[in-house]
Amino acid sequence: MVQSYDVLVIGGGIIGLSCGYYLTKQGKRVVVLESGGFADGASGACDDMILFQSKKPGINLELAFESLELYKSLVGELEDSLGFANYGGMVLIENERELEVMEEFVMQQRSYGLDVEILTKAAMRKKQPFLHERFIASTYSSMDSQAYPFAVMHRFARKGRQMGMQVVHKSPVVGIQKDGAGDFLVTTAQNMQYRAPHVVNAAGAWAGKVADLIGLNVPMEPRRGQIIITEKIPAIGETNLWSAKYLVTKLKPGIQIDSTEEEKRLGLAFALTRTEGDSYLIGSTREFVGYDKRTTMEGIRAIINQAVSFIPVLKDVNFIRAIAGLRPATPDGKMVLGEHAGVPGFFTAAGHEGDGISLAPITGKLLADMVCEGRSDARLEELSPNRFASNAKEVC
Amino acid sequence: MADDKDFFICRCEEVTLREIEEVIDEGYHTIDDVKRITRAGMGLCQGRSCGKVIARIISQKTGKPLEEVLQTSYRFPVRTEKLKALEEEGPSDAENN
Amino acid sequence: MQRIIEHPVLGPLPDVPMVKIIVDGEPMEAREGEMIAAALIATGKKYFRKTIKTHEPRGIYCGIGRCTDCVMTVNGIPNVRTCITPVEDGMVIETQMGYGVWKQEQ
Repeated sequence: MVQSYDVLVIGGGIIGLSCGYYLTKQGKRVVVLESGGFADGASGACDDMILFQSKKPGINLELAFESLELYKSLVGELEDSLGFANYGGMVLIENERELEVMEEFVMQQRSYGLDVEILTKAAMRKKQPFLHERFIASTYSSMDSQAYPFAVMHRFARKGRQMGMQVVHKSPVVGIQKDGAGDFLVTTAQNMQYRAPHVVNAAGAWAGKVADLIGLNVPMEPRRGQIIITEKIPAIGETNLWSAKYLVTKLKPGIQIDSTEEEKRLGLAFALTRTEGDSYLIGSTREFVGYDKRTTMEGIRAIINQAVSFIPVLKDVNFIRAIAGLRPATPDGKMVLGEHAGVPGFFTAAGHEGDGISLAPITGKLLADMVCEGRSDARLEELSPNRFASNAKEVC
Repeated sequence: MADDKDFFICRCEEVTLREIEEVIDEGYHTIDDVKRITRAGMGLCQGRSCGKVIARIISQKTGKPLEEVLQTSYRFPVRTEKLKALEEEGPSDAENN
Repeated sequence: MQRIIEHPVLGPLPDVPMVKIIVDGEPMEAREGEMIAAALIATGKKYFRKTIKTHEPRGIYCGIGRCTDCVMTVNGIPNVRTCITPVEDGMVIETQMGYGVWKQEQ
């Protein structure tokens, strides 16, 4: 039997559920097809940050601002706190070279409207008394926020369902065709068929594989991020933290930073956030290892060594779990959002890498506008899937 | 206020039978689904006390065989451990194997 | 004192040296080598911590290190499983409220 809808969303992670929710809100009949269970993919194995400081001035930062506003309104709309909190964030600076790069970067971000400053060592230590002595300064932004991904996803699904959205688990998509009437016919592994004039590919790290089912090219590589989780502990500082080393290598790849071979291989970067459950998430790695989402002893050990070297008191804290998720990485570090020129009606919304939680609401909202009103901002042109058409085989 | 459903199934995260049943009624029928939504099993003991009880509740409510519900993933570490237990002396690139 | 002096299987309680522990500021005695939880039960203490969400009292539940219900702050470190941690002379043991408090070392 074939079931008919207005839109089929492939992928039930935070992006797929956000798209499903905003489409349903605009009156569309939507089914979300998820290959696994609730939060089985990267959305359930990530940290919870809505970060501004990590973003280069440009489209990502602009959308992050809009997403933050949406989060604030979603708290009322979805009738839940969503674990939304605004602890602020600090980037820890170890040496003069990092300080120089961060000062320049902070200037740029300020001119873009981000409330961020450089703190002296004394001011930094006041906010983070447990920090290791070696840090010479830090940045601080009161805007950095967070949300609890599981709550966001569950409430998107719950509210969506109340308005008629369907979410089907354990339904990997194995075929996508276009029928004579111009509708898409999507087949799942259980041989269920779904028909709709619109398809949204929100399959995260698997978005390339889904696009391939209908002959489209979406260059997407899974990038493994490992994270460890501590027991519930009293707060060890006022804000969430991460290391300048990571930002400096990301923003100024030319600058030589002392990194060990292991750090380079693992893409190790320090990130610490206090979760909704009063645990801390400590990360993380950024590794290209295909679709292998296991945690590794090497990765966990490296994260722990780094964490204890940043905040020595952590050595007496229990860690209760290690997780790994596959972040969907695009070649240019920007997400893919828009309709494919070659196959009208087929949209992709994926490739957020580490920004999925930050950008989920705005992604869903913009996608719903594109599908429902057939319009797209000129500023979103740089996110269009059609940017990859000409260099089809460059990636992976 | 308290009736027979307001008692804790997950002692670490203080999640009651009522909260767990509500989520099962919404259509979430695996231990992982229930865990991720209610936090039952996410605490210090990592579901070692409540995991099997939750499996039985799911099985009773959905009619799914218990063995099927029990198939879930256990994450490293098997038992909670201090960070210093895995911290190495000296620089982290002194990998021993 | 609530100790089993004559156990039907293990026999009489052997003599061992006593150590000093401090429980919520009060000096107390414990048998060398026994678990913190056993020493506390022997003094009549049953309430080891209060939970985070509902502030209910908790003590021994599983008694074998699995359930983590019996955790307390020991020597300034929160969340120590008292049922599987042996007493030491001079140990400072505190009833833990919620997730406890960090003691600043510096």
